[in-house]
Amino acid sequence: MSEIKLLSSDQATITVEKSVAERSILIKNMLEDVGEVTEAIPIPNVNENVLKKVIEWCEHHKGDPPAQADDDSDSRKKSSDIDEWDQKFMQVDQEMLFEIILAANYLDIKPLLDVGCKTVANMIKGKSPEEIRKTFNIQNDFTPEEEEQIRRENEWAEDR
Amino acid sequence: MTSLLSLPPELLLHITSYHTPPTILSLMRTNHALHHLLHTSHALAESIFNDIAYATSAVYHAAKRGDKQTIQRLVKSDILDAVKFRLNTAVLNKSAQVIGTLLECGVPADTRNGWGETPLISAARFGRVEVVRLLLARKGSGRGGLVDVNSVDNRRMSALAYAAYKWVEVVKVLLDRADIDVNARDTDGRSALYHALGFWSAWKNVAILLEDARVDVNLRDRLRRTPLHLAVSNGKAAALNMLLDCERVDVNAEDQHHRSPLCTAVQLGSPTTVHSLLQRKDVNVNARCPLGMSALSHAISSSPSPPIYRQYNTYAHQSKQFRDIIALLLADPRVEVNLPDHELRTPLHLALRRGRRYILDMLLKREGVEVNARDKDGFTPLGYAIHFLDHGKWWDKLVKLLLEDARVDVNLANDEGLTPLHIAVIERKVPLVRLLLAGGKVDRELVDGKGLKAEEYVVGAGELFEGVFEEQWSKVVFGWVMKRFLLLWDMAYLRAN
Repeated sequence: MSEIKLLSSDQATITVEKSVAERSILIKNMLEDVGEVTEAIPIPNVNENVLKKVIEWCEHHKGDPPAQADDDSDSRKKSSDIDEWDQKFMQVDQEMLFEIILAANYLDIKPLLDVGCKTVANMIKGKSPEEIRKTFNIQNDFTPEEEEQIRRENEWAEDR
Repeated sequence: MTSLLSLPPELLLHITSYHTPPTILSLMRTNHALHHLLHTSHALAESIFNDIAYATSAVYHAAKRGDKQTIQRLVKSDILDAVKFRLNTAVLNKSAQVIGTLLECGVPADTRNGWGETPLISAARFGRVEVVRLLLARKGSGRGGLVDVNSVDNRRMSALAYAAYKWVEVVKVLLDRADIDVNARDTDGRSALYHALGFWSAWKNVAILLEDARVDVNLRDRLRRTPLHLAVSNGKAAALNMLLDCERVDVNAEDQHHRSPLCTAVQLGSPTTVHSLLQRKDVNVNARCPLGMSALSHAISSSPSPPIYRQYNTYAHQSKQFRDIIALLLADPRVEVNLPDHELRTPLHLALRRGRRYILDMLLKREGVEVNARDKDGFTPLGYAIHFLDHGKWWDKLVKLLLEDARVDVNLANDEGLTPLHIAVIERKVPLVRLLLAGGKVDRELVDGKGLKAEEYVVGAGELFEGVFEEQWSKVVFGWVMKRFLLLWDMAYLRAN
């Protein structure tokens, strides 16, 4: 079982199994292009903590079947269910969560990206604008008139 | 510091793809950046796309607050087609203002629902006058713009036909259009007037339609019935009188059985209807059906027989109805009282066959009645009565009534030369033989075609006719003696006490 080295943005080197690292489409494509490499592969956008977290996820999910190609077609009926291990895995602070999503996006790990987005979606679901602002620390930059107008435009969704 | 807002737009949209419209709208209301992102992308449209109820509700709200931009955008993006948003459901319960806005924004007005109804038909059917006005006012422009006032649904019912059931205002609005086809017929061949007559509460619509010169008041349906036939068989006086007041209505139009309306009214046993029909000057009171029955014949032969059991109340009512009808017809000088049917039976024959004494009474009192008319076998009413009357209740009273009439010739023979006396004897109707002989006008010596006298037919039934022909005098004397005896007995009794 061959191993490869990854170099995070803060210059830490992490060794992983090749099959685990190939969960990332980015790394997989790179290895296919380059062939055998001995030196560490630089991952410039991801720091050590996040990279470790991502690798932890990849190791747990290395046995998973590859995602179907036509996954997007039934995205209409996306459910926001997350399995138990992933839920525990995602119990991290917000900053880490968004970092993981960005890293998954960069490394092109679709299942992880989905899990991350679902987690965020569940945090938003069913909340009022005020609660959302509080949860994610967002500035309210609307004037009261603007806010009133947007509320009126969106009445239809409330009195269903 | 990484936060929600620092995520790239495509990731934010990915997140919202798990959301329903309320959550997305909450997100939009938090911040300018999010509002801009979600407003310009198709996130909302896509989530609406998933849910028909949201889409319709969104459209209605936009129309309510006059937000034409949104609706126009939705119309252009074909989302409304995809969620099957139709004006057909909107016209049922949305306000005229909402419908007006939707129409201005180019929502198609010629869509059809499951019954093939266009919005115009639906609106007319449920009496939405202002909506009908809006739809008719629309100019034909663009996709689905043309509102056809004569469009029909799967049953070929037009808007006017539906409105005619109930909605006076809608009918007025529709008739104001110059290009409306007022005589459009549905799959049963019924026009709007016909539909208005179907519901007696729509008599105002009947009046409006009758006033309109374009309406063909004698249009026949698939069963060849005119509106008048419907009114007659419904028996509603208001609608019927309105039709009869209209000069254009053909009061003698024949229906599918070639019966005139008067005959139908008579057969249904409705005196008020008959009365209304007789009010018209041009009604043919002597119209005959294919079997040659006139209205009077129908009235006589349709009158009910006394019930054997139970339904006496119904009988009393019906009997009264028919008695009224016959009285009405006989009171009308136009009615010819001796019109024979295909077997040359006059109403008098039929009355005797029916066996109702009141009919016979009324007929005999009417002037001009031919009491000695012959049917196709040469039977006079008297012979007919003797031949056909069975041993019912009071059956001999009818014959008695005839015999008491001075005009009746008791000796007229039929084609076989049988006089009434012959018939009574041959058919062994002993009480009738006695009646005939008691009258004294009967000529006992007349012979029939075979040269036989009535008495000679007694052969074989001697015991039945014992004393009928021979012992007249002895019976009279015996009766006289008995009467005297009883009188004396009475007087003796009174004197003793």
